[in-house]
This record gives sequence, C-alpha cells and structure tokens, in this order.
Amino acid sequence: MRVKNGFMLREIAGSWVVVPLGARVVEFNGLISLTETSALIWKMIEQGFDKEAILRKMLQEYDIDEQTASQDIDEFISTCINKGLMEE
Amino acid sequence: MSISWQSFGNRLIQSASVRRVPLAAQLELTSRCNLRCKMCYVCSINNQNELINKERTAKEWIELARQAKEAGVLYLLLTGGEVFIRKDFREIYEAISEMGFIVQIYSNGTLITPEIAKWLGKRPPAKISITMYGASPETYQRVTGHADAYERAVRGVDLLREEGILTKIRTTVIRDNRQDIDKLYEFAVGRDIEFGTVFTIIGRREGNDTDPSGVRLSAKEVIEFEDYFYNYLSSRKRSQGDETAENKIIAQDIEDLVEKTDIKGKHNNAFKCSAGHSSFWVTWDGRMTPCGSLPEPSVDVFSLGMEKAWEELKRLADEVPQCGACEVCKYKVHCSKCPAKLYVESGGFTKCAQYLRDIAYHKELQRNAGNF
Repeated sequence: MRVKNGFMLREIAGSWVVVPLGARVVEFNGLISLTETSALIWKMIEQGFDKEAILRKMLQEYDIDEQTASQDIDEFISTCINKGLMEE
Repeated sequence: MSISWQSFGNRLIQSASVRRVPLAAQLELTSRCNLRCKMCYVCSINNQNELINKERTAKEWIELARQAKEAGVLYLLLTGGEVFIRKDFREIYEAISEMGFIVQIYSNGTLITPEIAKWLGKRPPAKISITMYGASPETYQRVTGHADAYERAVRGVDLLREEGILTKIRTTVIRDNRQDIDKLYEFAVGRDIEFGTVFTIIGRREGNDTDPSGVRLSAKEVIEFEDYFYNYLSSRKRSQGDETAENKIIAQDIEDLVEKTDIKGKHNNAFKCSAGHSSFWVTWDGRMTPCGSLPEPSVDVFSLGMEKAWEELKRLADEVPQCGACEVCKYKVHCSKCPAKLYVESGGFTKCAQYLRDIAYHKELQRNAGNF
C-alpha cells in the first residue's frame, strides 16, 4: 500500500494532521487528525515499509500485544483506503 | 482517526496559544482594489504605480509562506484589497496551495472570470468568501461606486459554484445597504451558500478618503438591526426550513477561528482572542501585526524573517496595556472591545471607545426590556 500523492502529514501544536494539497482539495476538502500511533504508521507507509516492519516497530515502541497491533494497523490502513488517502 | 473542522480547529488554536506558536496567518497581498467602498479600512486608489512598487513581490510572499509553514502555521488566509487584482496572484496561490495549509481566500468576486474560476477549481481553496455589498446595481453604486460590480459579483459567485468551490457570501452592513440584507440572505440560501454578516464597523486602519465611521450604523441601529436580522432568520427557518451554516459541517472561517476563540488559561496579555498568541496578520507593505484592524505594534517581517519577527511581535503584543476604564465600565459584559477596536476608535489602548460603549449600552437596554 502507499499514500496517494497530494497528502501531507504535519505536526501542528502537538497534534498530527494530514492536509490535502493543491488538486486533492477537489476530492477531499477537509482535515484529518491522527493519533500519534496512526501518524507513526502513516510515516512508515510513506517511507515504503511493509506491514511486517510497521508491526515490529509498533511492538518496539508501544506496550501492546501483537494481535492488537496487527488489527490496529489493518484497521487504520483500511480506513485510509476507504477515505481515498491510500491505495493498494 | 477523525475528520473534523470546527472543534478540532478550536482545540488546535487553544493548544497553539498556550505554546505561543503561530497557527493562523492572514496575508494581505495588496491594498489595491477595483472597488471604492465607503467603509473600507485599507482601501487605496487602484492602479497607482507607487502602491504597486511598495507591494511585496510574489517571490517574497511565497518565501514568507514557506517560513510560516515551517513555524507551524496551518490556517492561511489570503486577502487584500482585492487579491485577484494582482497580476501574479496565480503564481502566489499555486505555490501556497501545495505547501500544506488550509487556505481561504477573501475577494469581492468581481474579477472572477470563467477562466479564473476554472483555474481555481482545479486546486480550490478550502473556502472562498465573497463580500457582497448589496443586492442591486443601485446599492453597489452607493456603496462601492460601481453599479456594474453587482452583476460581476453575481457572475463570480455563480462561476465559483459551477466549479464546485466552497463559497461563502459575506456582507458588511452600513446605512447605504441595510435594506438589502434580506435579499442578500435569500441570494445565498437560494444557492445553498453559507452567509455571514458584519454589523459593527470600526474605524479605518489606514486609507485615503474612505469613512467607515461616517457611514456605519449608529450604536442604536446596530442593536435594532441585529435584532431584526435575528428575527428574520428565525422566521425563515420556521417557515422555509432554511438550513444555515451552523447546521452544516463546513470549513471553518479562519477569521472566526482567530477572532472568536476566547483564549483560555492564565495570561496577562490584553488580547483575549488568538491575536499575538497564535495568529498574526501581514499588511500589504510587509508589517506583521497581531491583527488586521491594528496598525501597531508591528514588525518588518520581510527584513527580520518569520522566526525573529514572530518572537518580536509576541513581545510587543505582551506589552499592549489592558484598558483600565473598560475594567470598571458597567457595560463591559456587553462590550465587544479589544485592543484593536479601542486603538482605531479612541486612538489608544487604554481609552474607552464611545461607539462600542454605546452599542453595549443599547444591548443592556434591550436585555432589560426583554425581562419585562
């Protein structure tokens, strides 16, 4: 999966937001607020990491079991795809 | 993950204000305008070479925006004067629209051609707010000096809508156009467009022969008119089922976010909105100020650069004194005073602004009358 062109992740006053750029505003005129965990997943996807690598990083960074982390990643990616932010 | 506007914007501005980082920037790209509104606070004569020469270049505005983004700015308003009068507006906008801001544009709509609307529709701002000055050529003639501007503004609004660009109609109510407010509201609702009004006009920041104080409603008229319009809206909602802006999820106005957010927490700063806490304005000639109504304090942002200018502006904003007279005024709960309004109305930060006090007095009378 990959983040579609035209979306920028920004840290604003302690919050993570994704902003549509230029032509993306045509289809997505809004603002997406991400949790710190979601922002981490987003950044790793942007950098081209696969789910396995993201899962390992999540287990390293957070006190979370593997099954929950895996579900969280799948759910986040699925939401992003449904909302048109990412594609397979 | 959530997708939102209003509540998230308010949360961000509180958080940015506590941290004293800039979140919202309002850039006044030009003071030039093709209209000549009686109540303009910044209007200068069109096509004056001197004014063009004093304006900052597209390259300078783009670099300032880049620095503002690095400093943390998310909400960016592009305003004037009339932004579309700048021949290089496209260059500025195209660069800014790719930087990662939520962009809003203010315009009078009269210079929007089919070609401009199509261009903008390919990379739209989050919202464009068109100020309309009346609902007929006659009213436009009285307020702006240009009767034909009415048809051109209507055309501009319709072209923007055809391109699917989120558009809002704003109006500034003065004596010359107050009779048109119902028609303007109907114009907006008929097109499913958000509508906003400004009733309280304050004195001009600069300018030539405009006279906002001379053409505005009297304090008593402001209250009567607010009351009239509120009742009109209520009656429209009951009879027509109008769905107005507050019922819709729409992009938040940057100006509202900046001015109407009451900054919480302990601070001794005279500014109770986000001005100088987490928002700033840059005038057409390059002065960074806490807000667009206020000429001082200001710093030269193009010389200092964003980071140093913001630090200096915060320091200067913190030195703006609170108004002692206001603190003991019996009408203070109804008064819309702020440092900017006090300064342009009374000439100082610590003097009562009679016009605002009179409005507050009439609000008090109205409240007392309502209790019987």
